Amino acid sequence: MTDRRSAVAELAQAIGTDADQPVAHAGCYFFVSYDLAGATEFKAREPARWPAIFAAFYEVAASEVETRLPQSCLWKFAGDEVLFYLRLEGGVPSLQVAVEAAYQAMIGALKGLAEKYPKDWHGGASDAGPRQRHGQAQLSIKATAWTAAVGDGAAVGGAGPAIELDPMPNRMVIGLANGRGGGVDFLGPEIDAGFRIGKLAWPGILTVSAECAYLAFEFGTPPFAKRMNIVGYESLKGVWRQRP
Amino acid sequence: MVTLIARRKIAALADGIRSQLELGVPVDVEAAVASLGGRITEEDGFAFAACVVKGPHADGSDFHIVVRPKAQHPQRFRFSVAHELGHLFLHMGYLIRPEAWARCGDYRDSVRFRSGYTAEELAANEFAGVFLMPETEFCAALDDAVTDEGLININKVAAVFDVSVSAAEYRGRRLGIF
Repeated sequence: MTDRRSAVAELAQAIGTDADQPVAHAGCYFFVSYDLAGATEFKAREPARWPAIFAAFYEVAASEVETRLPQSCLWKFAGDEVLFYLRLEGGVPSLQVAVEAAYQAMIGALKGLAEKYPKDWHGGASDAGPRQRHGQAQLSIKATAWTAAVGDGAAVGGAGPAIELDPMPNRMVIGLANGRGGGVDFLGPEIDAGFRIGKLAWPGILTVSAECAYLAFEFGTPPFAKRMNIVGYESLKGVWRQRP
Repeated sequence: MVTLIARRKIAALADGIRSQLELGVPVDVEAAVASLGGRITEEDGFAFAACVVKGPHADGSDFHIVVRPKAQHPQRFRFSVAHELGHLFLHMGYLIRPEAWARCGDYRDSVRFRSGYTAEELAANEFAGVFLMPETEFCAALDDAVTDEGLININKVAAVFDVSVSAAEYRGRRLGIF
């Protein structure tokens, strides 16, 4: 190995690239999900084109979130959905920023995808049902945001991945890959609530959970207040009943 | 997803490598690859966007970066090479994690070839952006590109680094300038 390569190796090893540093889990978390609306029908209709268009969705959504909310982390890709999480270090103000950024990321992604694939993507909010172009439904994004609290807890071992039980009842975080950041997953009723709310989401709209909205308004009026509306009250099966 | 911590590390890595190789701007990516013990192969018609073929190779190189011909899109060529260097260090462990390098196979840059595509793509883009457009020089280029109307001529900025306008815009966004 040449001296120059040795120097590069030494430098690179000193810096390291282990982005998956062990992380402390405790804190209040913000979650946002972007779900591809109209995906099933599109896959059936466009068997040759959908992989590239869906890949663009993943890429543009992740890029938008990363740009607007740089401290957030990719949680996972789940089918036609991509999810992110952010540990709120700055209390309510950081939640307000996160909600606004999550909304702007959705708008930015829709705009970018509609510019790239105008035939296939609807580029804005849809308040009158799924949009169609020449009689065919267009793709859109359904976004859902919610919050959950995670505490430090003792790990429960076993053959599977370690599960950290929260001292607060009904909450837990599951740590995969030796608890390193890249492999963290989240479980618990508050997480389930987010997925239940996702079922009520609408294309081109960011749907925000009641707790998340309450927190965002708790200590002042957030910048997005004028654009936030209560659209209805729904009972979330299996969630509120077990809430302490 | 590239977290803030990871971004800082990636930036330190890209800056450090460029500095060790004594490269100025516009960065000579071909010289960079040669100095690192690799070789660039220009090909067309393959199924993936680009790839890193792990060595050792018969020509003595440790890796080959396979990209589309430079003549087709010179600026894209430069960004692609820098992007693949990102994969080489960040995801294959070249010179950094010998055990990972020993274990890994070729790196094919396409959504069809692997999972985790987006997260790794973003990390490699981050590396390429920093490698080709160092922050200090980028900010200086912005200052030089301010028009009489107070706007930034992004074409002029891109020309300084011999990158596409979209690459320069992306770098500016990542630095929180635009």
